Amino acid sequence: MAANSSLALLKRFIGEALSHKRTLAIVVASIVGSALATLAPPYILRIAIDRYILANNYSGFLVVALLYLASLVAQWFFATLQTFYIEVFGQKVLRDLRARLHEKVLHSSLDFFKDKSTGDLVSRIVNDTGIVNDVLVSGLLGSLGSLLSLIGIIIAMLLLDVKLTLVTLTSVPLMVIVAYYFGGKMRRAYRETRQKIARISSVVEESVAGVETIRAFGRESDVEREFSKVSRETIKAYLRVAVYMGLFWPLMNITSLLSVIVVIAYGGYLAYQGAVSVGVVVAFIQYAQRFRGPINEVIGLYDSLQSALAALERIYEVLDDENVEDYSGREVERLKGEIKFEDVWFEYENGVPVLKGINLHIPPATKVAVVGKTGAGKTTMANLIMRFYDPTSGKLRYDGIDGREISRKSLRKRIGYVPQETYLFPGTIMENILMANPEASEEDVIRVCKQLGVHEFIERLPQGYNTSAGEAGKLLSVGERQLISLARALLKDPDIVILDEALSSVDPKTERLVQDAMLRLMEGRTSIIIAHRLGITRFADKVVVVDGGKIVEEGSPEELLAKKGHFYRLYTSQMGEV
Amino acid sequence: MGDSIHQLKRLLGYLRDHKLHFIGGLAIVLIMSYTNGVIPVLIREAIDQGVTTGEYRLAIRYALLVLLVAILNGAFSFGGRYLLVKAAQHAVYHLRMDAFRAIQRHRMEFFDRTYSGQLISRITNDTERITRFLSFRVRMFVYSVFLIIVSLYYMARMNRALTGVALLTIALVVALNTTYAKKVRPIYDEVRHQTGVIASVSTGSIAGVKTIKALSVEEEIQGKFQEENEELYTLNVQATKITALYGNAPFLVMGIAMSVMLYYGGRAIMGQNLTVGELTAFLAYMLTMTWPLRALGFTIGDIQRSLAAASRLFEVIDSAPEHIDPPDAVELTNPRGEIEFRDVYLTYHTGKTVLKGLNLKIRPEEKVLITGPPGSGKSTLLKLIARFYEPEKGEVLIDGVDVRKIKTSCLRKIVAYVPQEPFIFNRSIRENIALAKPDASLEEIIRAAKIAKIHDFISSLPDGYDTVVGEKGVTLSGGQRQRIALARALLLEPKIILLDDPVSNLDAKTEESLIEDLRDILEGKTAVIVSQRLSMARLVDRVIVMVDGRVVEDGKPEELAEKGGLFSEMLGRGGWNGG
Repeated sequence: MAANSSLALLKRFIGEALSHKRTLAIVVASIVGSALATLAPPYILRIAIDRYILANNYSGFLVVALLYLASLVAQWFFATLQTFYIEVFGQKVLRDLRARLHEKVLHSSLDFFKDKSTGDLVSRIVNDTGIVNDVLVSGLLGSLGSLLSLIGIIIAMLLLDVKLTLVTLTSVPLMVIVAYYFGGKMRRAYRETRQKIARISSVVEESVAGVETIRAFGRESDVEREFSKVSRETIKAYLRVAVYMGLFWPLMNITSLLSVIVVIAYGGYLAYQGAVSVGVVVAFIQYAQRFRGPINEVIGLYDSLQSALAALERIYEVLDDENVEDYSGREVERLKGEIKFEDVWFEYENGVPVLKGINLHIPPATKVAVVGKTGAGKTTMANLIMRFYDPTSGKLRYDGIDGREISRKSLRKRIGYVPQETYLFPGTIMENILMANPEASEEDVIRVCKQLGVHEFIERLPQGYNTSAGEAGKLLSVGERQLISLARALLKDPDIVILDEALSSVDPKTERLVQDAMLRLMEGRTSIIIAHRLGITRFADKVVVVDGGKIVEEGSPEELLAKKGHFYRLYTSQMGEV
Repeated sequence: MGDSIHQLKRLLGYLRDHKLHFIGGLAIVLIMSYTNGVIPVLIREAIDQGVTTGEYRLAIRYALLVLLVAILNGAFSFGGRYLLVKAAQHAVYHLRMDAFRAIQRHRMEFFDRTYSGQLISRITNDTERITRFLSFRVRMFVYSVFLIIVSLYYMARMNRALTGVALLTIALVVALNTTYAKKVRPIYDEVRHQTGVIASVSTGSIAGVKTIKALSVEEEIQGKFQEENEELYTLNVQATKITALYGNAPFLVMGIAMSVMLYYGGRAIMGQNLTVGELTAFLAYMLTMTWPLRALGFTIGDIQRSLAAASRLFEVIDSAPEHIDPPDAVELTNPRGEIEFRDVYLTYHTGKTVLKGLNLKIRPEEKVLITGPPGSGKSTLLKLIARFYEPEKGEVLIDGVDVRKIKTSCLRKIVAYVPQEPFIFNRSIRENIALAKPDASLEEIIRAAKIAKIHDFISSLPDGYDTVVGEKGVTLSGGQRQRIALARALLLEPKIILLDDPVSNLDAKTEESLIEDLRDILEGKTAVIVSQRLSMARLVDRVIVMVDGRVVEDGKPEELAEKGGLFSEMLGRGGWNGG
């Protein structure tokens, strides 16, 4: 059962890997050439010894020597070809696999990310693909070559002398056992050292990240003790590797020599009887030494097959996931910006509705503030407008068109979304803003930033717009980061704006900046503000209070305050603090 | 050069009580290179005296001798490897500990300018490289050099001309391998770096997927990934090219050498100047030396890099202050909890001067809120009291004693610092609270947790106080983290408590309840609270407003509110909530 499914997995992978036919053809040719080239030198040596050297035959000896040279050059040539093209082929497969995974992740719907951690997904893109290449591409092709030359050696030996061949082969099972048992132990011990090193690095990481806390509470000596402990464990793990390596390599060496000894002893006896020539014995000595490399390689591959198949499974799990966004549908050029919720129900998990029959009409160019407690469903409404999710039942209409009919891409191009937490991508601040609109120029970015009043504070960063996001991330407050989001949104020149106002405290200067920027972005656009701090509601044309997935109040801020209902209570509880 | 020798000496100094292991290991390796070098000679004897003459008994005798030598060789190889690995591992252990201790001694500025990834790489990658150098590289160096000497000796006794060919080959192959090592290493470094880029781009795509979708830029992001992906592919192909060319070139040289040997050796045999066994021995020597020659080339190519790794570690060690406390440090008994800043100046490593002649006195058991715009030096003030930083001019005093003169262990008991984002260790809640007092009883811990109002939450968890929290455990909310950090601080019963923006990242409701609880928590202690939220003002006796490293307002909250300064302006704007 399990063997069946891993075989199916392997079949599928090989089927997909066959796409680079030209490279693969060269690989196969070089493997075959290499295997043949390995066979020739001992054979030629035998002829040289028997027919020329021992026969004292000067004439033509140069030709044989040149032939020997040619066979060795051929061996080198094919080996070089094989090394290069196997790796090139593997890297091509690897590159494609990484690109496919990355694209798949990008096109997945948000449901896909629900139960997956970022680290795990990145590890699939980076590490798992690497293992698959090492074992299932390079490893498999290399082993194929090894097997081929093993078979070739045996055939060549059989052609020279059957009896001697059978005797020589007696050490092969021994070699296999050593390679399997001690080789396996050695590789496992080695893997353990990698885990220990990872432990060391996590202790260092924790001691650096938590340095303030460690010092504030005088825990230095405990951390040091822990570090010492994991370091000592590392020593032990490495000594274990030393023991197994120390056993493995000499044993491989001895078993390999054993076949040489058998050849000398039995071959010597046969030569004494005149059954074989001295040249044959010399050739056999050479062949006998060529077993251990291929045997070791094939068994090493077998050993790592399990982990590679597991990696392959993790890769296919992502590639086969069905939570993908459909990008088809009507293209919209511009929207007037009318949004209508028609009896919208939504559940993230079956049977747990988050929105329960929302009806809401937002006319073009109005500003609507959505307020309510945490978990009331405010952010879900924004998610539905963005078509991150579609309603479980009911409809969302944009300018009267059912959202499901509009292509997600073209819809999102018309909406500027400012999330609570601004994500800065690796790259500069300029690149981070510019990404919002691939057609915009750097001048556009600066213009937009000036318009929002963000320009000055970006200029104050160490390298201005060229400050790396990583560095800037450390220097910028939540509010300042949100300004970058606002700049991104404005650069798109959207018809609809969704603002998820930042919850965290912002200093007064930045707060004013953020607020002004928000107002400028909302100007003349349909705007939905998810308000956590209620001060901002005074700029809204309409306030919608959501509670338990339902709209419980709706109206202008003044109306609602006068009504002394839900909104009034929320407002006074938040405002009455100071 | 002299510098390299100095680094090497210092590195070898770390062998300490494992010097004998190291020397013993090298001695065994030396013997091993002899036993390995003699095997082709025995094969020669087996062929010349046994196989060609038909004396197969002799052949068998030599064959068994070969086996015996091989077994001996295996034993030596095992012993040499084990002793050297042991010595190297212990040396690196001491080096690692020194480096780690040095990191712990470093001042906070060090962590501000150093990325944690860099430090991790020092302690893992660099030490690994040194271990490999001390155990594997040194061993292979000694082994290869002596194997070459032994082989050349036996070859020279058989045939001078062929030995000349062998010598030339060895020189060429070592040179090729050294070049190979030098060329391929930097590319592999680039490959590693580019792999890191791929990982970081992927992390961006996954963590920022909502932003990407909202901006509708999936294609562009995929395009960017493809670019980096293509770059990684190109680098890998480049590395492969070098491996294929330089890595395989020695085989070509060897092949040519062996052909030459066959031709001239063959002619010598016909001329009765050489035996078949001798020729076989020559060829066997070439095969035996293939891998040692590669290792030798790599050792030579790697010395610089290994010593560079060592010097990076030495730098971490040498740049750390030798002692944390001055020799005349004192203990403070029965602290009153008075804090004073006298004309304090401080400039960060970025060159930014954060404090410019700060003067401030906080009375025992006073509760003070320090507020002001970001970058005004508020948090720095707390860090100076906790002695995370030291002023470049002026003094910070507790009960009239300069904090630099107070023993660190004593200072940590008097002053509890709760950072803005408390660090939660990936351990049980119990261990996290008992951080400063590992021997605290569960009763003590529960008492602290109750005061910090986190006991009920902890009790509600399935494993209670033994619940593992943090990265690999239960995730805590910002408010819960703050409370655990408070419990942690309270367990110490400090006289002075420093809170760095305890309510940032908390929503309004959690903020409200924490402020209420803080009133009890801070009872009988000197408390310095840094916050941008004015809601904290209700809690304190005194508010200090800082701008640009200077105190601009100082007084009772009610007074300041009416005074018409910055504080009242901030309040007048409806505080932080009104907008």
